[in-house]
Amino acid sequence: MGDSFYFDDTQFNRLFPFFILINCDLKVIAIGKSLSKLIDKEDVKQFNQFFSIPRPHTQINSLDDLKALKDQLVVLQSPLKNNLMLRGQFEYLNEKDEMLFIGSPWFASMEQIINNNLAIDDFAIHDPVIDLLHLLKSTEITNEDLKELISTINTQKDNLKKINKEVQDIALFPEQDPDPIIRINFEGDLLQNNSAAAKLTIIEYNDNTYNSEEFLKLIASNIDKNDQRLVIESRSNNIDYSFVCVPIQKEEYINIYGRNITKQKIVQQELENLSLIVQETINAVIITDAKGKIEWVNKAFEKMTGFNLAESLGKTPGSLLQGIGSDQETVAYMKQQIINEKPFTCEIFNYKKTGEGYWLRINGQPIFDKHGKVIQFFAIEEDITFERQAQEKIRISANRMSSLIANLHAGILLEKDDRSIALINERFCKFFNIKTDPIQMIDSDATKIIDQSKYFFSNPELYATRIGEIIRNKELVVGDILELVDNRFIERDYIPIINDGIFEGHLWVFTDITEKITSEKKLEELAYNKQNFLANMSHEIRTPMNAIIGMIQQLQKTTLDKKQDLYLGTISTASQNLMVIINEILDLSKLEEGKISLEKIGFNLKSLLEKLIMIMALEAKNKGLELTNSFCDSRLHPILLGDPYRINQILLNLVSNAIKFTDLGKVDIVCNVLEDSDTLQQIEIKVCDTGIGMDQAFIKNLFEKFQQEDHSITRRFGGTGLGMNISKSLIDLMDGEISVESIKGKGTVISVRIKFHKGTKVDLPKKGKPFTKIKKLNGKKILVVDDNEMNRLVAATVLNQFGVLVTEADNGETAIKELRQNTFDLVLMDIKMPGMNGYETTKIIRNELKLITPIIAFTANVVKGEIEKCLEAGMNDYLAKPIEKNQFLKTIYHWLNTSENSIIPVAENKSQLPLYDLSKLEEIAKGNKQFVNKMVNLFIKEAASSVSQIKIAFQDGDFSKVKAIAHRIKPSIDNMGISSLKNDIREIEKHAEIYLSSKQLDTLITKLETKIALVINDLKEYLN
Amino acid sequence: MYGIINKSIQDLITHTFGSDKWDAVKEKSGIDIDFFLSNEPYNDDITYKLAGAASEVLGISVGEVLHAFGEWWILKTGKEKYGGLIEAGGKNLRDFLVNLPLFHNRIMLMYPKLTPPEFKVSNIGENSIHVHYHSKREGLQEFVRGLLVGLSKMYKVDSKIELIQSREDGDTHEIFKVNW
Repeated sequence: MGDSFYFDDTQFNRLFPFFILINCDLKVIAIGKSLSKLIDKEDVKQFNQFFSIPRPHTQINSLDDLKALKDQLVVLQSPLKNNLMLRGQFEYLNEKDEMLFIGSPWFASMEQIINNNLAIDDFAIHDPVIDLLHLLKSTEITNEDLKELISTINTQKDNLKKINKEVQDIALFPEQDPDPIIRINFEGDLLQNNSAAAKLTIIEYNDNTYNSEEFLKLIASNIDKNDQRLVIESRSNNIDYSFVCVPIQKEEYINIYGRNITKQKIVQQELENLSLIVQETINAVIITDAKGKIEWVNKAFEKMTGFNLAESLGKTPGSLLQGIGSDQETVAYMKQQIINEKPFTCEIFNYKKTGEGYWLRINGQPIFDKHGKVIQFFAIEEDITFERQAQEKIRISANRMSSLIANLHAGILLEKDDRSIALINERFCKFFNIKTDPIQMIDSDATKIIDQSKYFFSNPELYATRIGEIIRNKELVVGDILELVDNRFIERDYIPIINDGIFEGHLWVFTDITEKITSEKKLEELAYNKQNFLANMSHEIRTPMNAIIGMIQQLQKTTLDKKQDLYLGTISTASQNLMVIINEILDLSKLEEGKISLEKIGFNLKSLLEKLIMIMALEAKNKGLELTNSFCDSRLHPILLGDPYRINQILLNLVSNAIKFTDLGKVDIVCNVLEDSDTLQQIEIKVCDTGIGMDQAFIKNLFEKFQQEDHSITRRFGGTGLGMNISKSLIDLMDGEISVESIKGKGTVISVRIKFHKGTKVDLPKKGKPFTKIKKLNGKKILVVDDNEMNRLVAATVLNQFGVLVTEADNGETAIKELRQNTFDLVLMDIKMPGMNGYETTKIIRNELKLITPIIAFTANVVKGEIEKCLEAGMNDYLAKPIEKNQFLKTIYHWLNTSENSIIPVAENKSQLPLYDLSKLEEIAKGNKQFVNKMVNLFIKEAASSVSQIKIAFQDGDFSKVKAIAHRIKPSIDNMGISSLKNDIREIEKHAEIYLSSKQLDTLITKLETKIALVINDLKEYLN
Repeated sequence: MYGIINKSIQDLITHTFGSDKWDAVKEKSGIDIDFFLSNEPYNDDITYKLAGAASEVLGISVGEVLHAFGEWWILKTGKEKYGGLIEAGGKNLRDFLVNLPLFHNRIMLMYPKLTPPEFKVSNIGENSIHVHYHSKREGLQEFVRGLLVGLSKMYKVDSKIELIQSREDGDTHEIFKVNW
């Protein structure tokens, strides 16, 4: 170049506004305009005092030092000016020997420029300082941006992580969903699904089966893309699903959300079923709101009440259905329960729409929401009108039954198998003085009753034991008669209750039979008294008659003049007539008492009729009547079996009446055979007369006692009026018939029809031969015991005729005294004697005196039972008073000469009492043979054992035990009908503790043993 | 424009109306740029879209948006971000405006990808000046006005800015008459 440039101050300042000119003395000559804004020139007089040169580090001592810095970047620093730094270079101006520094202040930032009051125009346009600072700032800004960006990125990264996590979670969410989630496009192609969806390989929908692909296509084809959603129910892998298909138009896909509704379906089905049930149930169902207003009713309600749902809505059931008959207490109860939000059950009378009343059972309950608040009430109502009516009937019936049982004459105790009381009535309680109310005793222990009641018996333990025995055996026991210590009698029956073979309980029936027993005893007494009376009368009348007739007979043997003969004859006739009357009366009594027994011996009817006619011929002749037997059937069997004496009596009565009541004409006897078989003949005997006849009215009562047509008959014809009654009774006894035909004024025909068995000669009685063995009686000693002197006289007179040595005793004591002191061959014992009677005397003779001398009962009481008593007492035989001489002598002879003088002989022709009688058992059994056999077996087993026990107890001196056992077997003896022991067992029971070890008791026990043995023997045969 | 412009808009909206509004503006603008790098050039379009979206979202005119942005640029971005760069342009409004052309030309070199407008001044008086705004971009007059208002506020002078010439009127460039 070679050219120099010249700049003026202004130019130079414009180019280098921060110059420093330094002279050789290092004094600052001039500074730039802009630099002067930074430093005061006056302050910068000496360059090296104001500035230092840190770079390159230079000690500024002289100008030369500065010269040395030529061509170097120099940094000036002024410690005096806040370390102001200038950056530039030095140039040496040779000519002036000055150093020129040109440069710019070095600022770290734009702020420093401003802080130093500089502006952009303070720098040369070419000076890049501002730009550098700007750049610096830009860099800073960029750095800051980067930092911010990094921070943002970090934040975003974190957010992304979170989002990722969320997305992952979200992404997992459908994956974790057990229900299928599927996304398909609008064509039905699968875009996404979760694992649950992936398992749906086969899907059943609308009765069709699809694979998953087909199913998805089906959805895509069926869905309306504009619609919000489509819901499909289908089934896969035995699970019911509901698929909610949501088209997302914007995204052009369909989201399918599946939900397992299997349980729901089940519940739904159940609900449907329940709903159906509720709807269809016969019981009314009501649902109300929380205040009780009807929200819903079922069909049954409508049918029951007549109110339909529309009519019922909004109303309370009470306002709809209750009325006058509805119990207000029940209504109040329901209301209260509703208020208290509690369930309720009650029965109430309601009214239908028609006004008809009906009974209702209501079960109501509140329904709570999940917060426990009542939202509704639910009630089931059942029409119980019928039930109520039935209950009422039952109640009435039960009351009746209860009343019946309560008022039963019998005491009832029904025990269950466990011995608890099922039923007990007041009567039972009264029997045993139990104060507790029977109703309160139900279910209590029946054994306590036993404990309580046993003290009513004389042997409480035996009573209790017996009950225990019965309970154990569980067998029917009927008719146990128990005697209580207070003299009451109770009949006890035990019936085991068995149902379908299962034992269920015990029924005890106690009946107070005290009255009956007392009555029976009274009746027995009465009968005894009557019999006694009969016997007495028989005795009292017959005895003198016996004497009269006897004396007549004796007189007749003597020499009499005509007058005496006539008088005697009259007396004889009269006495005979009297005897007839007496006999009639006695016969009547015997018939009424059933004491007459008929013979069954062979007889010839034709002969009987012939004799009859012979006997009555004179009487008929005396009346001028004809008495004939105009016809006797040739078929008549020669020997018929029957009681000829009684037949004769009947026919005598009929013929006698016929003759009596016939004044003119005849009396005819006709005998026909009505039936004839191999063994039987029915005979008809007609007595026909031409007498006065009878009115039809009278015929009706003909056979009644004491019947005479009128008083005039009695006066005219005499008689007791008993004959026909006696005849009829006898015919009835023979199982025959008697009939009467009569026409007043014309005559009467009386027909008797009787069936007879055919007999043989064997059946004919041996004719009573007259006693011839006179000498055999000679020298025999006979004691005649009779309180009646006449009877003694008669007997003695007869016996004396045969050389018998007769000793008389007028009472039992005297007889015993005689027998102690003397020996007799035979004793004739009257029965009825004052003080010790014939039985007692005989017993003493047998038991105390131990005499086996034959004792013959000498009695006017030839009635059934009396004879047995004689035999039982120890007598050997009996003779009737008045004496029939032949029979009298024969009997005496027999006993004087017989070798078998047993204490209890069996008399000739006397009927033997049966050992036992099962009729009572059979009546109870009502055809149950098994039962009877069982009872018999039981008796066989128990009776023998009981007898053995009694014997042991007697031997041990345990008389209370004897009594107890006798008491125990007494019912069995009664049940088995062992009449011969009936009194003895009672005798033992009653007097065991009185007789103690007496012979009396011994005898009774021995007899018991013997009889029981015989009975058992027979029973065993019966069973076989 | 460089990212700093868009960033500045973001700052303005965020600071003035909240980040939700900025999100809404961004959403509205359709611009999917999460972060504007200050010294990174961006398509002018973005700025225009942002301004447009801001106008819609905020319910103010685009001019008002630009005006607000002009002020913001001076008072916030220039002052805080550039640490006094704006203030270094002059000690007072007059000086700054006088130095504005020099200042802006320097910037042109700083940002090579920037196509900054050119400012010239004339009619320099004690209390007035004409600022000539030459730009190939259109519609940013209000932004310039905002800048001038911002400068006035920065230098604490009450000024009156008047657009005395505009391309909209067929002129070649905008002239702002600034009186203070």
